[in-house]
Amino acid sequence: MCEPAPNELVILGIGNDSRGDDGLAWAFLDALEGDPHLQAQLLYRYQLQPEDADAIAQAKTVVFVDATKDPLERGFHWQSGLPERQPQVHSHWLPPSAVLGLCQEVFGTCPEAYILAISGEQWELGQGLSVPAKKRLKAALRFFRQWLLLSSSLNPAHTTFLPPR
Amino acid sequence: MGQKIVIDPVTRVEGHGRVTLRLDEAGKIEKALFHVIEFRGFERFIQGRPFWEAPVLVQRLCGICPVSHHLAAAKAIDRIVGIDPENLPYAATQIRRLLHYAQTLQSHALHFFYLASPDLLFGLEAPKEKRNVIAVAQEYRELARMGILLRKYGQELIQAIAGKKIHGIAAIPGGVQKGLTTKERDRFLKGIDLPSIDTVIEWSKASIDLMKDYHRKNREWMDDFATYPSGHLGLVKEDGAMELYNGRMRAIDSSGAIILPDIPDYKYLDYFAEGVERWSYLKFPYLVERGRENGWNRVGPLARINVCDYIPSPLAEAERLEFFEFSGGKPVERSLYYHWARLIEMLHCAELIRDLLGDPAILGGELTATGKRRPVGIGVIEAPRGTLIHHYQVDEKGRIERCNLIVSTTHNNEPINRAVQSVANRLLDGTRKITNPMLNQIEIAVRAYDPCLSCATHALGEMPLKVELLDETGTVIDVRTRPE
Repeated sequence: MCEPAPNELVILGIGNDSRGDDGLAWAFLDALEGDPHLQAQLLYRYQLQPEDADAIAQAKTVVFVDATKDPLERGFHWQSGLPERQPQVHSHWLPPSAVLGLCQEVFGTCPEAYILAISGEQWELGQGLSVPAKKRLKAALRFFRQWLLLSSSLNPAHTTFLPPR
Repeated sequence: MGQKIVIDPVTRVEGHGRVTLRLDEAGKIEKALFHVIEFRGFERFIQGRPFWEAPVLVQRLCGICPVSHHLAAAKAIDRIVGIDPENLPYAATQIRRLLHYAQTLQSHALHFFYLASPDLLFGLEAPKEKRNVIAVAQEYRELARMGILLRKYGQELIQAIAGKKIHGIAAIPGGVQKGLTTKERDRFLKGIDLPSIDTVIEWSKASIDLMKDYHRKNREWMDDFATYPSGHLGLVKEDGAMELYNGRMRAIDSSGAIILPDIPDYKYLDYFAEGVERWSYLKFPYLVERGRENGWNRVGPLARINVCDYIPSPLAEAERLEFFEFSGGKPVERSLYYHWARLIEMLHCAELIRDLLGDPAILGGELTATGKRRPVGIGVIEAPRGTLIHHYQVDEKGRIERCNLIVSTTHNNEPINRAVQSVANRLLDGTRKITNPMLNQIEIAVRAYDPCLSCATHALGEMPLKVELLDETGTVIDVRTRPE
């Protein structure tokens, strides 16, 4: 794991690497782990749960990464995440918007948030990542690293995501 | 003409359930059935696998209580490698207990604060937007914070012992892999980035105070709701104390008389059988001597507090005594008191964790033992939701030939059906439509048992309650589902 930097960037990968392309988000984190160009806390999750509100409460920025069944034009989709005050919640697991909403309600703060969805194909037990998913993973990683560089140059608050030169 | 109502799916439970209410010609409930429609498979999946894999494989049944399955399987596998519980090294026993209490603490916190508290705080008529933990956070910020951090404490302790919060590995045949470091121990004692164990105890007590306040204001409702006579089953120590990790099996009847006299857990098959019904994948365990109709038992926090003679930790024992003031010392058979009993157990676990954190044995020492191989292993523990039985038979090469799992929710199958029938009888008198408050109350009855339907059927799949109303010919006259 990367050395945690709890006040800066937290990346939550949601999925299960025993179930085919549902392992995309964890593979995304695996690819970032040990990356000398990144300072972030990487958190592996099967599902998001209420206590994840505590995990992100100290962060400036949080990125939720998850696989999706939806076909996406570039193979992945990047969007801002916003806290929701009245999400549909039926169990102990939560969508990112609810975790952000809970963070706002309980801890009085909410980090800047993004959601990265990567398109998958197969979801059965024991399958690894599909060939198309591996290609989309590479593209998503390339995009994320570019975003990191760009946002760090535009937003002084993000420079701490990168190690000092 | 008779009619039938179906609720599908039941929400804020772990798994996918469905309720069918069949009305007679007079519009009264003829039968209420709580169906579990997920498919059961783990007992078959692991046939042919080497026995030492069982504690790792079977915990995949569940993402909420994997530690319970891990430890029940480990206890069974200990016996296969020739180690009875009393011969497990002391340090290994203490580390396993610490893991087990952390699991029970986090599971009870999850159920009360995340799933059940909206029912108690917002009432039966609350709109769906308010029936979740976010709404709790909006109106009861400190309570939500307490719930989140109590669960986090348990989860972090599990991770420290087993390497991961979910599906970690701590137990191995005849022992455990490792203990805690001094630094890890101090983190949980003093609360460096977590609440300290003293704060966990204080918050657990505060949550019981909240429950008692609710009880003061709603006693009539709590006393009348889904109340019916039953047997109660749980583990106890030799002196009758509440026991969660390793004890003897005791059952009592509705009057409090002992009907299963503290038997050794490995003899369960001499006393229990499992019935089946064509409308559910979930089996119906019962005491053979009392038969399928009368031999079923509640399990879980309410049953455990009913069967034990006392709780061996001072604060929880004081709460137990107060709890029984309201029943005149007799077994409590009111379903909503499950929540209260659950919180008393949460406090008990917090006290036990504090004691274990003060025991140097959890830092290491002799961690494994070996013995002479046996063909059969049975492990029984009190999981958060109730008595959990794992039973394995292996061949001469150590491959699993047969596996039988009797999961907590399986024991509670008949009680949940009775609870639904009790509530439906009161609500549906002459009514032929499923209203929202009706749906809420049926869910509240099911939820009191904290059922884990994924565990009970060992399912893979999605979660969510469906209620159907049928006439006597089987025609559906109303259906409500959640999520809508």
